[in-house]
Amino acid sequence: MYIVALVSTQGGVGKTTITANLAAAIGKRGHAVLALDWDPANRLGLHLGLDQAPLQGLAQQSVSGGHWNEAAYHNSDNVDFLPFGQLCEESRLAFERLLCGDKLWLARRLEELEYPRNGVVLVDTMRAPSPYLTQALQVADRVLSVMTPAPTFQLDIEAMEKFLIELGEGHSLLLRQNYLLNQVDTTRRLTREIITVLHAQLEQRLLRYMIHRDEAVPEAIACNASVADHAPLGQADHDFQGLASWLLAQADGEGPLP
Amino acid sequence: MKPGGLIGFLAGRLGVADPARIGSWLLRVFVLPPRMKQAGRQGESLSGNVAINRMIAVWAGALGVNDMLDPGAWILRIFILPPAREAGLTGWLQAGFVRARRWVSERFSPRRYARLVSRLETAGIEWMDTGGVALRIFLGLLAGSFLLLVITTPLNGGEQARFFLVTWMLALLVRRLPGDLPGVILIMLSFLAALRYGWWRITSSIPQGFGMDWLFGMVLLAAEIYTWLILVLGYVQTIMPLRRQPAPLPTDPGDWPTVDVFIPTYNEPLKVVKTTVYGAQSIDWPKDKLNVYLLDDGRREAFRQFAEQAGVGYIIRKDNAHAKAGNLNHALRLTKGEYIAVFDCDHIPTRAFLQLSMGWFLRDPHCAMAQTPHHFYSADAFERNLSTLYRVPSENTLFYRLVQDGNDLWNAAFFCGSCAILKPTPLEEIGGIAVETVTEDAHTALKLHRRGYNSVYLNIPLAAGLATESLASHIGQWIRWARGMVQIFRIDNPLLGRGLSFFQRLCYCNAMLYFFHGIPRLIFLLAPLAYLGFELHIIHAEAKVLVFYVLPYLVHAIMANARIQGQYRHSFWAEVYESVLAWYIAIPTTLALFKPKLGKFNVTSKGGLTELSFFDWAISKPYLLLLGCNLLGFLLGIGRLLWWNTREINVVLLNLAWVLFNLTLLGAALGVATEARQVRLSHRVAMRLPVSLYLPDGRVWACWTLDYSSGGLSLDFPKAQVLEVGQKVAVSLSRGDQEFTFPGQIVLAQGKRIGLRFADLSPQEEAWLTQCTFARADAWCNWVENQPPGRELAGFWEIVDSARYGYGQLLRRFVHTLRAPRGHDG
Ligand SMILES: Nc1ncnc2c1ncn2[C@@H]1O[C@H](COP(=O)(O)OP(=O)(O)OP(=O)(O)O)[C@@H](O)[C@H]1O
Ligand SMILES: [Mg+2]
Repeated sequence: MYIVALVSTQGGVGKTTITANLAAAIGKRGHAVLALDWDPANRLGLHLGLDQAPLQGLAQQSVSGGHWNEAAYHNSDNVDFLPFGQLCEESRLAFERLLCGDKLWLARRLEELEYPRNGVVLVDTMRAPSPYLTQALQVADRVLSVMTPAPTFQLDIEAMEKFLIELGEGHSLLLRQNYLLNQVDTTRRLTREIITVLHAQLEQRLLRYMIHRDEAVPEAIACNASVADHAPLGQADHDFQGLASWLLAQADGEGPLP
Repeated sequence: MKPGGLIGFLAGRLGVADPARIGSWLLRVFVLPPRMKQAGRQGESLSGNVAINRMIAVWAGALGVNDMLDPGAWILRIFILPPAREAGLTGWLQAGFVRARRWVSERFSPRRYARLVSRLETAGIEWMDTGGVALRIFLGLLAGSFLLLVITTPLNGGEQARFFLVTWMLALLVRRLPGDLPGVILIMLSFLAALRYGWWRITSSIPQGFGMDWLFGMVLLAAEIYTWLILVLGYVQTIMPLRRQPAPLPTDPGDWPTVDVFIPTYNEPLKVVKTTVYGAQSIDWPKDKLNVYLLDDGRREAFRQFAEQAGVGYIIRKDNAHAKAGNLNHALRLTKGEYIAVFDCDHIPTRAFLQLSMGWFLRDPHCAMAQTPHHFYSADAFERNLSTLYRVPSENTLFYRLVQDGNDLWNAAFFCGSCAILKPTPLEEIGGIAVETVTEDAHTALKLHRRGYNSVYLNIPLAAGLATESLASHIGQWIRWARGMVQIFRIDNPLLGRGLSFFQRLCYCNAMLYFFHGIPRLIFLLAPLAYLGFELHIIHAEAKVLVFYVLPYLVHAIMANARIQGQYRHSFWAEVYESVLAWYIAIPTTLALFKPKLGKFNVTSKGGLTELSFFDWAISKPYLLLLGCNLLGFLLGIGRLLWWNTREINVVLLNLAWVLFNLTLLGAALGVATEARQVRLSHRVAMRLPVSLYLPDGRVWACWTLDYSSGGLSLDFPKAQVLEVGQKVAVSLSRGDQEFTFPGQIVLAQGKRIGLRFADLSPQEEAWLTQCTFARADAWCNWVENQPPGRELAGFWEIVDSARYGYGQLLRRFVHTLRAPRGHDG
């Protein structure tokens, strides 16, 4: 089980979209992949083929003491999916208190899932700061910090770095973390210049596989399809495929952490 | 490389254990093959057994011998079936071998043989060591007298034929084996055959008396002696190309030297120069240590403005004295970089140029010049007019990929005027770039070598440019080189004067003598007429005997050359190139030989456009004249065969064959003179690069380029019918980690093939575009064609094909001209 957490300090950068499309790209290749919605916004399902946000999910199962497997879905792209589910405000606070008290709670739940050893688990998190992010960082074999080439990129990086160092109690987390650029439009000069600066600043930590801004992405959501189905061979599809290959190679090389 | 270093290198290659002892050299050169070295671990040789087994294994692999211990497989592969590629082997053929193979393998074991060789080797070394000087002298004398014996023994026709059969079999045996040694063996065989032929030719085939026979005979002999000389010098030059690797630079770029890039220009269009300047600016080198200068001898305002806007230096002078050499010298006086890099204004450097080629200067303080190949991304006159692009290596390939690399072994690689780095301090010592001749480049290098400086040749294309676009300009360029090289030969002869090593003299000498090929080639093109037209016997020998002597010489020369240079020049093409030039360089070289001060510099025009296909009557006049002579000879020959010289049928047949060969060469020359239509102003470079295509509707597509030029791209688009002609798009290309986007318009949409023309690009965008395309570090690295060595006969059919095309064109144009005498097309 190779666990990948998609995180960010800003909202709306595309974590959910990337999680869904990455899962589809990996699943279509016949590889076991689990998309885990670890955000009370409960949106991932809409990107994976559901018409409505599911009411039942891992949160209910956790509160009621049931097994997570019972809330799981499987879609036609061969993706296993665990929705978060709808929680009322009170239960959510209770749930988050539970998380705050036990840093390794998610780790244990994932362990109990007994997902195939060579499977990939993609965890779509709530933006920082949040107890969800903290939990996800504890278990992740690889952390993908999603960001857009926005002019505030320096602040985003600083904030992200601060979290990683705090939670990883040193630089241990930085070693398995990469920055992933999304919504890149290289026709814009500012974008190009920001990317140049980022390359110089982050060096190897900035993934070479960035995802371009492509109208095919929101179109695909509107059509309730993955980008791979809606606009095969388009730039976004190309980018997701590249990222998927890289991730699988990483999973192969590192294997599950002990 | 110092002589010590060279000897060390050779010793290493040959596996000479102790270079100080002549005995071990003799042993390696004459008696036993060199030991193979393990890659990476220098200096430590393997035991004889392992070395031999490994060599056998390498050979087996190359020949497609599956079972190394099976002698039958070896025989099969070497003599009967070519290696693996044509492995589809018919059953019946194999069946015959099975029994024979079994029989042989029961009796011979290569293992036993290997043990024997290794025992022999040890014994040999002991014997050599104990033998002392006397033994060495004895062996030397033995080899010498053996050679003399082989060369001078007179044999009659039949005997000579059988002798040839043996050497030919030997050549067939070794020619497909990998490694340097088989090449050396082929050269030795060719050398032997040439000497034998030469000896026979001089001692027993000179016409008697001092009549016309004798006179013309001596002319032919002189031409032949010239070809022997060039053949042998060529072997010396290319026997072991150095294949030098780039030397690493210091890790701290602070320690890298300052470099001035000079781009001399005279009358070329700004469009051509721009790309070169942008390429030069984007060379990966510390920005404060790289200065680009445009040296404009045309003194054009547009160029000054461009230089200012691009942020490069702009240098002009009052007059144009000494053309390019004067231009460079003038700039040298004004700048003070530690090194200068020179690019002709149409040679675009790649980003990696300096980082790959500077290293040797820092390693060797006596290094004064580093040269890299001139690579051309457009088709030259031959490739375009004969449509041989990518099929036949271009004319200059041999020189830049092999000859210069061979020169480098002897520290004799010379400056070629562009794509090179020079060190100004040694240049000052020799008075700057040489101005005495029209080939200032070679002369400058010669002067540097005389001063004891070293040169470096790096066989990696790190810059590329446009080839000469027409036959006329190709010839113009060659006339200049020929005249210049002969001028140097006259006023600063490499054989005379001080400061050069023996091999440097030979290499320079060959480079210059080569340009004298005009007259000898004309002699060969006309020689058969002496007999067919006038019944002169210019070779005093029986036709049959002549064939038995000349054939080994030709066959071995062709085989040896196919082996050592087949990848860079196909067999028989040298004859085509020479026939095209012969007439034109014969006069300038002769003039320059007697009056070296004569003549002026002429610039070859490039980047032009041949709008209409046309036959260049003006330039083909000499070919037509020679063609007429040979045709006449052919008709006379037929007449002699049937009516007049029926008692000398063999002689007539021989001369007819010669005439036919000449006609083939001339036909190919006529083919080159048919200028094919050239439609594009900007030449396209085939290369697959990933791009993103941004459409107006917000969709983005990932696709690959098929080719690029400074004006546009063609793309391999994943889906048909998405794009329409006229659509405005943006396309992004990457340079390293960076992406750049360029506005453009779709101009062609044929299924998945999309043509895109860039909109008006800003200067900044043009610079980026150059960096993403022509100046990419990897732009030309795939260009090093890993072609299999050219097969001898394939080369022949290529020129026959070209000749057929040439005659077809001639006939068409001729008919056309008859019909419409005032047509602009003819
Ligand atoms: N590469 C892309 N090209 C075009 N649009 C994109 C791209 N990536 C994401 N978007 C759009 O950006 C919007 C936000 O995406 P998404 O909901 O995945 O972000 P998020 O990081 O999950 O947000 P949150 O932090 O709220 O969870 C979506 O409408 C999506 O369609
Ligand atoms: Mg989200």
